[in-house]
Amino acid sequence: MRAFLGRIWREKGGRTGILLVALILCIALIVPLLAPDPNKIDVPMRFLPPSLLHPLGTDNLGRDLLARVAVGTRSALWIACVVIALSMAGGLTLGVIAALSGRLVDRLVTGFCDIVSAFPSYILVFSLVALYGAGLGKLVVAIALAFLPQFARITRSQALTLRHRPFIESARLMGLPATTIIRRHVLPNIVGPVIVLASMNIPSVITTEAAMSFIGLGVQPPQTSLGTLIRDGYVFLDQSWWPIIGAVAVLAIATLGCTLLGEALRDVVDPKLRREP
Amino acid sequence: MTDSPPIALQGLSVDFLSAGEPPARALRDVSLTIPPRSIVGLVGESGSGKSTVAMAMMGLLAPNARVGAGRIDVGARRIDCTDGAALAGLRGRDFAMVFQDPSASLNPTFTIGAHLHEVLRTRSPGSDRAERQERAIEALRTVGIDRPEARMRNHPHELSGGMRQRVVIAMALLARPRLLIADEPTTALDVTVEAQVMAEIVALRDQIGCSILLITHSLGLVARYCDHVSVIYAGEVLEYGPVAEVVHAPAHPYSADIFACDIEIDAARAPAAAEQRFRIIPGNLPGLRDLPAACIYAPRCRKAVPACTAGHPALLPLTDEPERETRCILAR
Amino acid sequence: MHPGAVVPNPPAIEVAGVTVEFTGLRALDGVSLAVPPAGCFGIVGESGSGKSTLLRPILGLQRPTRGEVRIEGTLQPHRRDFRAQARLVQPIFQDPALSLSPRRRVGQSLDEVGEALGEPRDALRARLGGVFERLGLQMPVLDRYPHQISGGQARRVAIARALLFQPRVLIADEPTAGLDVSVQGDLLNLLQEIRAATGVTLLIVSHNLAVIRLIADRVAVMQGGHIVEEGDSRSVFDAPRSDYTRTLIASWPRGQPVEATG
Repeated sequence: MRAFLGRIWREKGGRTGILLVALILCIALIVPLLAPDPNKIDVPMRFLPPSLLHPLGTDNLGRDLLARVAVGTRSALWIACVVIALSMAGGLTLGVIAALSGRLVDRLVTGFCDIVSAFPSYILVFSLVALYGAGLGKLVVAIALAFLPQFARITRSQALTLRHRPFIESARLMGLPATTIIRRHVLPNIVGPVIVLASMNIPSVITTEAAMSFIGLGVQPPQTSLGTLIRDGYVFLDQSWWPIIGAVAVLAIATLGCTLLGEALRDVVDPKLRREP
Repeated sequence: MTDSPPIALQGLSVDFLSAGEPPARALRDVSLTIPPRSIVGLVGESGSGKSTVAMAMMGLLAPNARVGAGRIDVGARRIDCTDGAALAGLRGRDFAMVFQDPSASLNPTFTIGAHLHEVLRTRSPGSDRAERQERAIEALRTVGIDRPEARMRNHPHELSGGMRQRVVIAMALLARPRLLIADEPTTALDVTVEAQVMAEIVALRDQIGCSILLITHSLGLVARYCDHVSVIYAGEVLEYGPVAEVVHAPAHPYSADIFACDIEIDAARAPAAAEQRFRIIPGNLPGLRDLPAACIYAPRCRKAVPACTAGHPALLPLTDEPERETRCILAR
Repeated sequence: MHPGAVVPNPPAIEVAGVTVEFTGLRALDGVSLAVPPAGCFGIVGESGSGKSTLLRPILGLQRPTRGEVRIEGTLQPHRRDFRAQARLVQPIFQDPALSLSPRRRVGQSLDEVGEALGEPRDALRARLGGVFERLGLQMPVLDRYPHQISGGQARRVAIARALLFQPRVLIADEPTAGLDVSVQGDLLNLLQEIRAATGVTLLIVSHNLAVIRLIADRVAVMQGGHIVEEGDSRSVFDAPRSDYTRTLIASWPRGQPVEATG
C-alpha cells in the first residue's frame, strides 16, 4: 500500500491530487469537530465578512459559513461514496453476468446499458426525480443508475478477455463451480480498472449531486450539501458574496483534486505504463 | 569473388542498467565478420543476446542499454557503436532490418505503397513519383507478391503474415543496403511460408549483392541457408566458422550440445515412439550481473576441466583450421 | 480405413463429423478421428488448419455446431458436470505457467484440485508429494507465486495439477512452442514418462513436425479445417500420400545448404 501511494506521489499531478484531496478530507472530517455549530442562527450577525471568529464569514441567517461548508462537504463526499459503491456493485454484477452468460443475456444487458447511457446524465437524473419525486434516497439511486453502464461495460470487457485466458479455462476444466471461479479468479483480476474508473467518476458524481441539490431536487433542508449551500449563496448574492465563495471553492478543489488523483491512479495502475525489462 | 571488404563488427559490449542493481552484461566483446554476398547466421537460444546484437548495430537499443564499446567497419568507414548519430546514418542506407514481427516495420495507418515510396525517397531523393511507383511495383513483384498494383493500396492488416514479411523484404530490396539484418524473420510464420520467405531473402542477396546476417534460434535454418555461422551463448560468441564444418564437427562443446539436442525431421527413430528419449542441456543460464572470470559454459559443460574455470578464454582460431574460431581451450 | 490400421479397443477419443463454426468462419469442417487408448496421437498443421480449434470440443469447452465428441464413450461436453469430465480429460496449455492464477500461491492453486474432486486437503497433499517427486519438484514451491518460480518449474506445476486428476486423456497444445532447443527435451521426456507410468492417452497438437514424428504413434495432418491425412507416424512421414503433407515435410528446414543462384 505504501509503495502504491509512493508511486502516485511521484506521478505528475498525483502529488497535487493527494494534497487537494487531503485538504478536502480535512475540511469534511476535522473542521466540523472544531468549528461552531453550523445551525446556530444569529440573525444580527448575518453577512459578516471573514474574521477570526468566522473564518469564512456568516450567511443570511448568521450561521458560521466554515462550519456549514464543512458539513456540506462531508455530505457531498458521503453521498458520492454511496453512489459510486451502488453503481460499482450494480455494474460489476451486470457486467459479469453479461460476459459469462449466453448471447441473449449479453444482448439484453448491453442493450439496457446502451439505453441508459444514451441519456445525458443530468437529463436522466432529472427525469427520474421528476417521475419518482425528490429526496436524497431517490437521488442517490438515480445518479447511481446514470453511472452504472460505464462500470458494466468495463467489467464486461475485462471479463470477456479473461474468459479465454488459460488459467480461467483450466479452472473451468477442473470442474469448479462458476460462482467460485468468478469470485476467486475473475473478480480480483478486473478490480483494478474498475477502481480507476470509480475514482475518475467521483468528480462527476459530486458535481451531479451538487447540481441537483442546487435546483432543489436533491438534498432537502435542514440537511446541507455543497449544492444547497451554493443555492443559498446564489439567492443572496446581491447582499454578500461570502456565502457562495466557500462552497464554490470547495467544490472546485474537490473536483480538481479527485480528478488529478484519479488520473494518477489510472496511470499507475495501467500496465502499459509500467516499464518491465 | 568481389573486391569489397567484409563488414566487421568488433568488440561489441552492451550492458543493461536497472536501478539498484549491478548492470546486466548482456554482450561481451562480440565480434562478427560478414564477408560480402554471404549469409552469416548468428544462432543462439533465449538469453544469448543475439537480438541485442542486431539492435546495437541498428542503433535501436532500449533506453536502459549502455554500449560500452564496439565498432563497425563498413567499406572504408569505421563507425563507433557508442555514436548514436553515426549509427543512425547507417540505418536504412547501409543496413536494413527485417524483424520477427513485420508490424515493427509497417505503420498500420499507411498503405504498402506509402511505405515503399518512403524508402525510395530516402534512397534517391531526386526521383519523381511515377518512377518510384514503378520501382515499388517491380519490387513487390520481385518478392513474389501477386497483383502488386492492387497491393500498393492495401494496408498492412489486410495482408497475411507472410505477405507482410515480403513487403518488408521489398523495402529492403529498394533500400539496397550492404547488409540485411534479419532477426528471426520467419519465426512467426508457418513452415511452408517460411521456406518461401527465406527463398526471397536469399534471392535478395543474389539480386542486389548484399550480405545477410540471419539471427535465429533455428539450427535447421542455419544449416540450410547460411554460409558461415556464429554461435552465441549468454552474451559471448563461442564459435565461428563455415557452416558445414561447424555443423559436422563443432569446435565447442556448447555447439555440439545444441546440435545434439536439436530434433531434425530426419532424425533417427527409436523402434517404438514410446521409447523415444530426448537430449537436454542440464543446468541454467548464468546470471548476467555477476560473472566469474571463467569459461561461461563451464558450469554446464560435460567436458569441463579445472583449467576452464582458471580464467576467461579468448576467441581464437583453430590450429589446423584458421578460418574457424572457438573459445574452448580444449578444442583448439 | 486403410489396410493394416486396426483400432483395437474402444477409442479413447472419438470425433465424429465435428463441424465448428464461428460467425462467418468454418474452423472445422466435418472432422472425424479415432484416437486409440494409451498411445500418443499427434495432430499437425499450419495456422488456420483448425488443429488448436479441434481441442476445444474435445476438452468440452465448445459445443460443436455439428457432430459429436466422445471420450471413452462419454459424450462431450458434460455441460452440467465439469467435475466428471475433469477426471476424464485434462489440458496442458501452451505455456502451462499461464494456467496458474497469477494472484494465488502455487499451493492454493493446487488445493483447488482437492476442492474440485471433493478430496480432503490432507489426502490431496499426500498424493501431491508423489506427483511432485515424479516431476522433480520440491515442496517449498507451494509457498511461491507463479512469477517467483522459474518457467520450467511453473510448467511442471501445471502438469502436476493436471496429473492430480488422474485423467484418462491428456491434451497438450503446442507443448514445445517457444522452448529453447536445450530444454524442449525436458518436457518431451516428461510426457514420455507420464505416458509410461500411467497409461494415459496423450493427444498432442503441434506445428513441430520433427517432434511429432518421433513421439507420436499415430498422426493426423490438418489443413483448412479438414483432416488431410491420417495414419501411423512412420507411414505418414516416410511415405505421405497427400501432396500437402509432402509439401509440409519438404518445407521443414533441414541441413541441406541452398545453392546460390547468381
